[in-house]
This record gives sequence, structure tokens and C-alpha cells, in this order.
Amino acid sequence: MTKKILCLVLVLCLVPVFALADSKDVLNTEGELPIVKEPITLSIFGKQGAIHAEWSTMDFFKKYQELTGITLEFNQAPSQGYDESKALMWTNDTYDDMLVAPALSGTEIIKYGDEGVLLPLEDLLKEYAPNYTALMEKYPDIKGRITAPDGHIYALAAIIAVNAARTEKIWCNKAWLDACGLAVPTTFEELETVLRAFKEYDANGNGEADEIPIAAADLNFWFDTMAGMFGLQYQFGQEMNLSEDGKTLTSWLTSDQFKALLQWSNKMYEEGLMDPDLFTQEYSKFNAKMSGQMMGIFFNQADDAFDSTNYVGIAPMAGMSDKLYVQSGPVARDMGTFAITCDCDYPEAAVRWIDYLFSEEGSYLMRYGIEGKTWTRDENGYPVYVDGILNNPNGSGPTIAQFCIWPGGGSPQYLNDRNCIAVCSPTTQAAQAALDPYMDYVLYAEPLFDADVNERLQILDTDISTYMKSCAAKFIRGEMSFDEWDTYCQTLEGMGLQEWVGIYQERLDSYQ
Amino acid sequence: MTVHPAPRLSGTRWFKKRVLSHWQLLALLLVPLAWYIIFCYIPMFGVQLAFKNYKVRLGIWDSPWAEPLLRHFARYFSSYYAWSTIWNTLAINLGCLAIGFPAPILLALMLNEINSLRFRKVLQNITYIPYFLSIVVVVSMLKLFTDQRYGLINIMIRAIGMQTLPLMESEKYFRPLYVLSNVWQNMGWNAIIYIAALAGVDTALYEAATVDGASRWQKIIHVSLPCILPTIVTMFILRIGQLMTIGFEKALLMQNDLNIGTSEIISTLVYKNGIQKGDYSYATAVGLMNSVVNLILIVTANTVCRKTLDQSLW
Repeated sequence: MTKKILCLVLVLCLVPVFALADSKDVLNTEGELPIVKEPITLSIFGKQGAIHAEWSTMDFFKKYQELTGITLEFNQAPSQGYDESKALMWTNDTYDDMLVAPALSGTEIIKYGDEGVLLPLEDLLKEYAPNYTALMEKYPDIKGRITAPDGHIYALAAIIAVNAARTEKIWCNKAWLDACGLAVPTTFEELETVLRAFKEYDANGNGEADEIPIAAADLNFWFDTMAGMFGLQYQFGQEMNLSEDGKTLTSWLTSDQFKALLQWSNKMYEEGLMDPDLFTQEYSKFNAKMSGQMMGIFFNQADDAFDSTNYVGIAPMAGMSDKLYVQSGPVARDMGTFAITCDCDYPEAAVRWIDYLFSEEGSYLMRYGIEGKTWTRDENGYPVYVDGILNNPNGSGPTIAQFCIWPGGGSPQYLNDRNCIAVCSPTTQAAQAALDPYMDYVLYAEPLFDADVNERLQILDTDISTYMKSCAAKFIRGEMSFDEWDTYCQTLEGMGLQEWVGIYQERLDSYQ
Repeated sequence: MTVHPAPRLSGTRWFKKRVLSHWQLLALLLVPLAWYIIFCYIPMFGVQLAFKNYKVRLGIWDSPWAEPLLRHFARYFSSYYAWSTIWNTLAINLGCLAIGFPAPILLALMLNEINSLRFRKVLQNITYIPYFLSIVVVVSMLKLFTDQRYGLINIMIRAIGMQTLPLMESEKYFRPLYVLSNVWQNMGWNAIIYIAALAGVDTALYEAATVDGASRWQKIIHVSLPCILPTIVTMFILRIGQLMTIGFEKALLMQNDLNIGTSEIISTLVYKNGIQKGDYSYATAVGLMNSVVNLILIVTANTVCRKTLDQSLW
């Protein structure tokens, strides 16, 4: 008992000491810049994208240090070999104060949050992040997506409040259509006619039928867009459909619709209408085909990587399913874009630092750089880039990456209708309009799981996706006949398909 | 022959005579010894990670023990691909052993028979330059050569009127491609040790054989080969000790959805589940399992070689 009292006395003696050294004391009045009364220094770690200029020389960071009074110490790692740099970073004795655009995976958020490397942010957010909190109230999905099963928020997600930035558009070459005298296809029947015509039609005039009628960057992208036309959804970001009453999840990997999708793809492949590179190509090769105008129909999020003069965005094809869906990313699209570590002496200031970027003005600075230098305001007060940026011959992305960190994705940013021009050109917006009617259904975003479940999920995920992709590729290429469909289904069941669905079902039940 | 026992020496004299007088040799030994201690023995401390749930904040020593102890091993075998990765690893290594092991010996014997020193040096240099290419470059070359439409190999196949082969996109061709490109890359380098061994063969042996009327072929079979046999056996036993190990880099780079059935090996699975997802305990557990199997293999190989060929490592 005496010991306890002694402890209490000692603790009480310590309280004033703590109060004196309170990290909150450096803060300026809420909502005012600079954030701190006395200049402080925070170190940051993150992923410097391949097209980014050196972070410390970027206008955005230079200006933001001036505005906030918080000097940054840059310890970012290049995107080349970034995963290894990040893995090493975790094993350091001391961590940088803030992780900015660190590309944290769900597993890492849970693991290092649980171990105490990442600070829980939920209380700090309530008090010091009015902008982010307001956005969380406006888009209730965000909270479920970034909250760990233990109730803490360890990392913040980017907030993408524009539909067009969360879907893959279906681009169709209008010039080829006109040359063939065909209309935009709306059903699978018409689509096949169009594709066959594209194959015959010699767009580059070399006398060979070497044009690619339909293509995607890889098998994942192919399924992402095609699955919806067969009535398949990606609940929780996985190959699962939600029942009508919204209560039951089923995997569609063994369903008849998926078989139909594979059979149709097989038909396209056999006829030489589908790009055979789909199974093996690197993204850069796909990029080259896009900018080279070599494809008739393909899937891509925006038209920033190619000249879209000849292309139109079209709607999903009808004819294979009563219900058509367009798969879209969640509002909190990029997870793990910002976190504060346990070694940060000024967590309150750090939260304010990030929160400003989620305000309207902050988002302009974050996405457009310095006002008057790289952007000006239009008559409504909305930002527009100065000439020579969006129409830069090097491409708009690499140009903006000289002064802002968002190109390349994965940075903490707030994208809305006012500040999205660089990724949502009018053509892209129009292409999105074609998809909008098919996005009106309940779609759950990929959640965070606790460490134990995650461990099991890792093994199941790797097994199932590896097997599914390898079989799907063989079905499409005709190396596996559809007589073997039952064997394929049984193998998937044997791998624990039901257990895998069960993990997500449990999560769904907990929402209700 | 009688062996004279060394005269007994007192402590200090023994030290002076046996140790200090050879200090140069011992000093030379220090460098590899330090290397082994730093890079092989100290890291062994980390093996305990295989039985623990590693937490970065707590460090290796303070992380809690796994519950049950063999949890991470069990996790590996709970994967559908566990056994097929083990077989794929073994199959590739057996292929490398069957073709890749004799190839440098043959190359060394051939080089040894070339009289023109200049030609020999040029040939040797040409054969071992590929060793210095990075794996990424080698795999990119493979991809270019094997492309079904524009690749050199398929252009040649088409030229002789045969159906082109999906070399990179098929489970069938993954192993031959892996093994043959490995042989091409490493043959010249691995031949160096045999060339050195052949250079050490006493020329008097060849002269005596010539006097006895031995043909060139007979000299290879009866002089060169027996003389480098100890080297061959040593290399063989060491090679057996790596039968369960393949670096993940090359297989991972060559991998795609279509050849995954044969290209998924232990190290690529561990890379995906362990390293990429930061699950160090899991990666250590599989690494440890690999090492144990390798140890068993190397001891067995050594025993067999000692009994049959009277040559062994120890």
C-alpha cells in the first residue's frame, strides 16, 4: 500500500514536468498559419516517385515549409527498390517523425500500429484535424476503411471525391469506327462485329492486319472491367458478389458467369481479337501501345497517357447479364498515405500539418504548386494551371511532378471536382458519364484485418489468386479445356475458398 | 612406412615453434575467419526468429515465442503450393546438376587440349563474360529471344516451317529455359577451378603417357580426369549441399501467370509471403527448413563419396 502511495506521489510530481514540456505548446491558434509559434523541424520518410523531382527542391514543399513554420528534413527513398528501403526502415532504431506517401500496405498498418511504431491518430484527428474529420463525416465509408480492428486509426488515406478518378474507362477508337462505318457497340454481339472489323481494317496502312482490336494492361485489368459486364462485382476489392438482400457474400470464381466470361475471352483470343501480350507484358509496353494509338478498344483510368482526340469513352456491353456493374475504387482510394511514428515529438503539429492539405486551399497548394507561378484562379476562384503544363510535350504528369508530389499516386491528397483537371480532362469526365449509370450499387471497400486473420489471409490470398490467374490464362489461351472446369472448381474449394469468403462474410456481418 | 612422432615440446617452445613461426599463414587465415564469424556465425543468432513472432520494437531477443512453437513452419505447409514449390525447386536444381555440373568440366578439358595459348585465352574470356551480366539483363535477353512473334528462336523455328513455341508462356519450357540459360551464364566461370586444377597436373605424366603410345583421348581419360577427380568430387558435394536452394531473383523475373505452375519455387513463395509482406519469422522458418535439408543432403553425399570414391570433404 505504501508503495502505491509513493508511486502516486512520484507520478504527481512528474505531471508538472510533463506539462512544461507539452508538445501542444508550440501550436499556434487553430486554423491559422503558420502552424507553430516557434519554428520546429520534422523529418519525413516516403516514396519519391519515379517521375518526381528531388522532394526538397519541389515548390510545394518549399512553400509549405514557409507557410507552416515547420522545417522538413527529407529522408525519402527513391521508387527504385522502394519496398526494400521501406522494409529496412522498419528495422531502424529510430523512425522519422512523419511518413508521407510511404505506400503502407494494410498488413503494415496493422502490424506496426499494433507494435506501437505508428501512433493512433483518432483522438488527435478529432482535436487537431477539422478538415479531415469533416471529410470523414461527409463520406462515411472512409472511417470503416481506415479504422483497424482494434478501433485505432494508424494511417490516413487519400480522399478521392471524384468518381472519374476511381474507375477504369472503356476507350474506343472513334476514327477506326468511322472508317469501318460502324456505330459505338452497346451489346456483345455488336462488340464482336466491331472487333472483327478492326482486325480487318488496316489503320496504319502497312497491308497487314496487325492492329489490336481489344486489349488491357494485364489479366487483372481485363477482369476488372469485363467482370462487371457479366454481372460480377468486386466486394471488399475481391472476386465476390453481394446477395440481393445485402447479407451474403459469394465468391464468383467458381460461378457460371465467370465461366462464361472465360469462354468469351477464349473465343476472342482464338479469333486473334484480344491482345496476346496481355498475359506477359510490362505496363510500359501497354503504355507504348496507348500512346501509339495501336488499340481499338482498351481500358484505362484517364487519357493523360495518350492523345484522346480519336477516342470516346463507352458504356459497358449488354447481353451477357441482366445486371451490369462498373467496378470502382473507394473514396479512400489510396490507403496508408500518411502516418506519424512513435518518435515524433510534435504529433499535434504533425496532424495539423497534414490536415491543412485536406482543406480547399491546402489541396490547391498540394495539387497545383505556388499560386501565380504554376497556377492562377479562374473567374469562379477555382485553380487552373498556367499554359505549358497540361499541354507540355513531356506529358502533364512528369511536368507537374517537378513541383508537386501527387503524380504517380499514393500521396495524401484531397481530390475534388474543383482541383481534378489534371487527371480528369473533359474527355475523361465524359467517359465517366457513360459509366455512371452502372455504379449505383452497394460496394464495400477492402477493410483492415487484425494480425491473426491477416496471417491466414496472406496464405489464402496468394494461393487462390495465383491458381485462379494461372488457370484463367490457360482457359483463355485454350491450353486448358472447359471440360476441366470442375477440376478447377474443386481445386479452389480444396485451397480454402469458403474459408476465404468466410473471413469477409464475418466482416460484413459485423457491419450489420 | 614408419611415422616418426613429433618430439614433445614444452608449452612456450611449442607455441613458438608451431604457432609464432607460421604467423604469416595464420594472419592470412584471419580474413576468411573474420568473414565467417561476421557473415555466417553472428547471423545464426537470428535463427531463433523462426520460432518467434518477430516484433520490430522488441527486437529479436525480446520478441515473444510463437504459439505453438512450429507455427511458421505449419503456415508454410498450409499453403496449397508448399509441396509443389519444393518439387519445383528440386527439379530445377537436379536439371542444373545434370547439365550444369558436367558442362564446365568438359569445357575445361576442351580448353586444356587447345595448343594455341592466345586462342585458349580468348575462348576462356568469351565463355566467362556472361557470368558478369546481371540477372535482370539475362532475363530480358531471354524474353527478347523467346518472344513468340519477334524472338530470334521462334523466327528460326518458323523459318524451318515448324509451329512457333510459347517458350516463356508455358509450364513445359520454363525448366529447360532456366537450366540452359544458367549453364550458358555460369559454365565459363565454373570452369576456372578445373582449368586451374588441370594446370597443376604434372606434365611428366603426359610425357610418360605419350611415350607409352597413349592417344590424345586416352590421355584425357587416364591422366587429366583422374588428376582433377578430387576437385570434381569436392565441387559435387558442395553442389549437392545447395540442392534445396535457388535464389528467387531469376525465377521471379521469368515468372508469369502462365508458367507459375513450374516457376513458383520455395524462394519466390517466401519472397512474396515473407519479405514483401514483412513477415520475417515466416521467411526465417522456411530458410531454416531449407538449410536443414541441405545439411542432411551434404552429409549424405559426403558419406557416399567417401565410401565409393574414397574422396570426401571431411
